[in-house]
Amino acid sequence: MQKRLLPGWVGIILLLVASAALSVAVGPGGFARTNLGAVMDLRLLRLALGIIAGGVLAVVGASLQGLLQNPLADPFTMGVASGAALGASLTLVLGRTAGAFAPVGGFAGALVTMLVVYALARVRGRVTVTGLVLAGVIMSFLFSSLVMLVMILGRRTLGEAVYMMMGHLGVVFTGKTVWLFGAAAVLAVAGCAWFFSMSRSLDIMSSGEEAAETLGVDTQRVTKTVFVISSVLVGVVVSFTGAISFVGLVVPHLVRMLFGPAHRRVLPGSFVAGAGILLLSDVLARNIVPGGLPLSIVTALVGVPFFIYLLRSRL
Amino acid sequence: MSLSRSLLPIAVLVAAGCGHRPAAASGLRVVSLVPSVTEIIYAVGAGGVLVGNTNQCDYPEAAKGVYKVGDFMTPDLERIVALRPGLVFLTLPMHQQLLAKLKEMKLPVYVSRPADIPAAFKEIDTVARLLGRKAAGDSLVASMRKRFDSIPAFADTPRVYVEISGTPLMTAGGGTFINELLARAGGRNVFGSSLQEYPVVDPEAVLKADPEVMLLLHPDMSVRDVASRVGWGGIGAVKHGRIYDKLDEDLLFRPGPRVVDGVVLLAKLLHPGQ
Repeated sequence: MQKRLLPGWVGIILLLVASAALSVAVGPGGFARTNLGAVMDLRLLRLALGIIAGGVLAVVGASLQGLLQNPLADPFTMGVASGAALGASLTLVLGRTAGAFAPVGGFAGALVTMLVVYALARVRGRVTVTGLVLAGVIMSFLFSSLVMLVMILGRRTLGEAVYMMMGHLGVVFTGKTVWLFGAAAVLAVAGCAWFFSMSRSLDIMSSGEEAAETLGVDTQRVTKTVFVISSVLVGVVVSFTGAISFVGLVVPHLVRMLFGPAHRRVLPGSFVAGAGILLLSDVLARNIVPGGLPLSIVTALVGVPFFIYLLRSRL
Repeated sequence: MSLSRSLLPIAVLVAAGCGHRPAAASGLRVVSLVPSVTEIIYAVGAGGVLVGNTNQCDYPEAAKGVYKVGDFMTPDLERIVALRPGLVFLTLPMHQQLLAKLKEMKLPVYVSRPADIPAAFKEIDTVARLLGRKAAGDSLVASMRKRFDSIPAFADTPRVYVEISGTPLMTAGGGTFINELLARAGGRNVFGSSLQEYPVVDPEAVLKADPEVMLLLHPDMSVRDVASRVGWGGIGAVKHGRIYDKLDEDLLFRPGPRVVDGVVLLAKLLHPGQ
């Protein structure tokens, strides 16, 4: 494992740099000199949103997988992303002023989902792999339907519901929401840093809860902290981008293949690789079809084959 | 698109039994699932025959009091059948499945889907005749046509961006009714070449199209919000303060008796002072 470290880092950093360069260089607005400044404003913001969203989803996925000793844990499979989408949709249809609180709605939706799924999956004090995924899938179905319902009752177009459930980076920031995004980005980086500071606890937790307790880790506290931070991060990201699939699930596995299981490497590695993969997916999503595809279409096309490989070879 | 458009003028008339026309029959019971047709029915003075319509049929005021068979998007088949209608008005592609079921039950149906303004005039004429109100229909169409013809042809045609959703950005493409209205009102829809009816567009694409006028047809954002969008400051419509919201959307989306009002509304916005 050790000797893969340097090439691994070089690889994922190159991936991020290349995706970022593509993301800035290619787009429907072209590269004309007349409005280059404005185009760059849009693309650089989109780049920032992509880095934050991809990084956060992958870091949250990695932390949840470690905490729950569950290779299938991720914001999307656990239904947390859909819960956040529901919370954000509810605030959006309540009107213009309420719409500014979409990140708060997203956080509330994510936290409630996280707790419900955890409670459903925990049988006799143990969260099983299948229990967690089943509960997550079921809640995810429920919340996707509810997003649709909320959008229809709120007299929104079905297109809005689809993009909320499948994600996109085509957010147009206004003078106000750009500050909201700035705050969200700071919060996101702080949350990821917090997870990083918990690397050691997560390492111990991933070898089993009982073992962790004998080693003096306050498992209850670690679990609660991870859940709350994950909810904040996923809620905030989803309120801007909608629910994006597979990044949080697949990226941590990819990074573990490169760096081994230690969270002090997996977490930052996941942030970098997650950001790179999401940006690359967005470049594809927005340039294949005029207007752009919902992001989860692309992330699923990339993520599913890799996931099948994992399923056959490692799980 | 081209297939469904070519089918538009065809009236799908399935008369019960041996093809008698429901037209002049007094005591005719009509259900309208299309808000524009509901407007036509009232405009030709046939409101009395209407026994059911949808939650979106809200004009004129009297239409609100009619028994509701559900939403425009999802009308309830059982409620429709229970009304024992002699004629059901519906539209495509919205009511595709319903149409098949109603035909199976041998209920007389009429598919209303005018694609442009001349077709909307013809539609008023057809609906009036179906309800035995030919004279009223003729005079309504004549007065509308007169008003319509008095709208001048405009030499300059500003580029127009129509926004129907803010997250993600969605607009009206070619083949939509509002696209036709814009053309007649002397405007050019910047996404008029899109084959999708209501495509999602990239914020950059709007920047590149540089519209001179923006119409906001959704409640997410105010004119001020849109004017402050990052990167959009250089767009003509933003620079010259030509963003409009709080328009009466029904005038722009319903091919009914108020279609000329829709054109006039747009013409006034696009060509102020003319």
